[in-house]
Amino acid sequence: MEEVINCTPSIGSGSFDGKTDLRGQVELRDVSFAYPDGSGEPVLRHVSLTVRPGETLGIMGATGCGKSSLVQLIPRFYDATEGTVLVDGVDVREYDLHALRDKVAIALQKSELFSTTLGENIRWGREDASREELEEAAEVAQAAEFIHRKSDGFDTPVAEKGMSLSGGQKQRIAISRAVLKDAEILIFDDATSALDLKTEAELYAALNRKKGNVTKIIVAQRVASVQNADRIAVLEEGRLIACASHRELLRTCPVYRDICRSQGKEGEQVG
Amino acid sequence: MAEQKKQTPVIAPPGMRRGNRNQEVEKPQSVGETLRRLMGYFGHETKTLVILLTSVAVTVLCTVWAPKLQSSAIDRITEGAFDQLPGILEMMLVLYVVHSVATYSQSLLSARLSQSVVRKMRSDLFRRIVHLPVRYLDNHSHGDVMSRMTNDVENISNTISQSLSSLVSGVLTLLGTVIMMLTLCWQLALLSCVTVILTVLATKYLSRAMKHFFRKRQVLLGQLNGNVEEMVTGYRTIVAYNRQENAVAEFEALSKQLTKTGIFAESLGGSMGPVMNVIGNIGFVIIAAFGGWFAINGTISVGVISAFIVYAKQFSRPIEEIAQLYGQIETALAGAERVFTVMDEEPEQQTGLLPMGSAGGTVQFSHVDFSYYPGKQVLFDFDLEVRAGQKVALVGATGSGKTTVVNLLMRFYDIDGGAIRIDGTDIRDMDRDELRRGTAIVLQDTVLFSDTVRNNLKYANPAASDQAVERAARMSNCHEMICRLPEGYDTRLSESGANLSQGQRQLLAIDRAFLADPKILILDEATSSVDTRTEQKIQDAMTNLMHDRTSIIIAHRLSTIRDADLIVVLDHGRIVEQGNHDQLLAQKGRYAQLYETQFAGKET
Repeated sequence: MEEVINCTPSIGSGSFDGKTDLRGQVELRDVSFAYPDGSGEPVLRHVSLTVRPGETLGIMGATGCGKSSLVQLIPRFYDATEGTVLVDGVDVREYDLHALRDKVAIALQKSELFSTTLGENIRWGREDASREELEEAAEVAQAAEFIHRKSDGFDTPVAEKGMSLSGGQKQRIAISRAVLKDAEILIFDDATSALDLKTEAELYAALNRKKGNVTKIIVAQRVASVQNADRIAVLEEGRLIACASHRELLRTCPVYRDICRSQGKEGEQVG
Repeated sequence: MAEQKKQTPVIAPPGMRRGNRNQEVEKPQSVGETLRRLMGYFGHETKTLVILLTSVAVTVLCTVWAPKLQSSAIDRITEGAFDQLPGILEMMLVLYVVHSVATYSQSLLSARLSQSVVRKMRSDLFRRIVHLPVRYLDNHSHGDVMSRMTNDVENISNTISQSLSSLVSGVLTLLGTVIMMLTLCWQLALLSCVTVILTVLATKYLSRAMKHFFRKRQVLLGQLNGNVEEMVTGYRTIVAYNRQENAVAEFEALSKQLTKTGIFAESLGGSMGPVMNVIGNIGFVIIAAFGGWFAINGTISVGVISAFIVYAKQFSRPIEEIAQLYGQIETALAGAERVFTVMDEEPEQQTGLLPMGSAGGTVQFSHVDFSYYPGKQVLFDFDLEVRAGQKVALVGATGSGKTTVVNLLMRFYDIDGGAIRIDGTDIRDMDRDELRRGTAIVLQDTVLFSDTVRNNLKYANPAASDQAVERAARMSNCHEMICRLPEGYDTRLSESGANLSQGQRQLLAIDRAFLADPKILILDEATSSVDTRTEQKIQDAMTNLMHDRTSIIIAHRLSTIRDADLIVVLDHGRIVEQGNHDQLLAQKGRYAQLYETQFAGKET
């Protein structure tokens, strides 16, 4: 027991309270990263990237190429081993951890829900949200429909770890939670993998309407999820090999073309 | 089925559990029954038990005989017959020595006994848990089940090692003391009855209150464990949403409740001692007064008074001990009841005995109806025929029933209506182990164990040779990835494989399925975490592997499904379209719609 109590967290909080003029800018300066207890093999190598406020950035790449690791550096689940991560122009290490995490809303691939009501789970995004705001967030996340179909609606209890919901429903609740948070930066870490394409498309449309000036970072496997992003960052073996719009990449990036081809979108001119 | 559940802890159906914070306390229904079952576990250790009881008996004998000797000694002194004294004193010394030895062996044997009884109990419990139907663990808090395994069993162990011999010696001492008291002076003995009555009354009322609180405490402990487990598992979310304070507050609230109940339970338990002391002292006074009066009248000798005082003390001490032990025994019994409840859960029924057979692997769903909970039907008239070696893709919106179909095929749940047949044999008639050996499933949530990569891969097929392992790994494009790990195939994965990315874990899961060499392969969203380039390579390998194998794929990505032999479109539990890619596109129905959206992207 003492071992656990005396354990000092390796991510220490800074003191910066987060008040900046910029809202929603993320910058990675020559960032390299390896998991602390892993093989030491770097998962990210010298990645430099700037996401402008309000931009929608897609991130794609092979399995294990570092996509999740990259976005997890932003709310400081881990610290980069080299280089700097900046949010709104300030090094994330200088931020008070609470302030930093208030700026970032993240929906994970494996949606973690808790055994309370649906409404309560979503409310984790923002405790003091009104009922309307809750409804709105659920609407945007395409969850309102199935919630209202349940006899208790938002007050429907969620069983242990969300057993009573299907994979896609769980993800949508997690997304509602992220949307409700009203953060400057919204990160989806492959958080739409269990949604069918139609629902996903509707989700992005709603996000663009309601959260147009929020910076959105979307990590995905499907080209369809990111093809309408402002830019798409392509990672391979931890390195950023290209970052441009879908059209540009089709023209200039063979790796990206490869991916599109295998998804049946070769030579597609998206209208 | 009904007669099995003689005691169901009030664990509400899933979704309800957290609604009522003050979960109903388990009502003890059959203390006698629980005791009897517990005793059953002792049956395996008769030798130790016998020796233990013998040493207890010896101890008691010494304890009961010593005051008599003491009485004789004092009488000799008062009579002045000092020459007889040494003999008596020697006897007493011997008695005390024997007593010590016996007491020592008692504690040794108790410890041994408790450890082996508990070990058997743990293994029985675990054995039952791994054979439980999937439905049980879906409906019960995992933390609670784990608490029974750890906390409750631990309590039983402690109680046995500490209380068993005390209990037996207490009872025997009581008996012996009463006999001695009656033989020495029945009048005084009767007067001592006053003490007995007081003791009984006190015990009765105090213990009733204690029982209530001890049981409640066990329940709260289980809840607390469940809460902690949830928080630890969902750690990232707590951190991301700055919910640490809330989590702490929730934990503290539960903890406070537990503490309050615990305080009540312990204070009641602790009050037993002082109350007994008071009663004892009252008895003391009675004996001294009346004893003195009898002695003056010549009814008894002075030595008898001294003996009586010792006996009276001896009398109250076991009652005191038993009363104090009561609390501990209550907790242990409560725990044992909870453990037995799980053990009484019906394991998965072995209804069928037929083997799977070596035929091709045709699957037939005939008019299958199913609901997880009565009244909430999930599959309606599901009718599907899969030929041997066919690749079938199940498509549909989330919640349309795809994962359910898989659950049913693996017999994690039993259907309500219709039948599922593999190669013509109803799966209910098939031996369940055979069924599962012949099907391999790769789930949406990959489960890996904290063991070496090699052992994880060989999980379903422990007999696989190293070459087979490597071959399967190459086929699923895991080989390079595994070789890049610090110790290659012998790298130990951390708990639930957390030191790998989601995609890597998926690949390992696929690899594991290959190694299992099943007749029917089921992939539930397996490849959605893998990027499509790697997926292409896997698909090529899979095409080879699926040559003699029926495969059922649940995926959203049309690239995965495009090459399927048969596509089945589900909507709210019903099949709305069936056919291959070209046929369905031509139909311009639901499937065509889904396919269009892939290209439309933003537009709806």
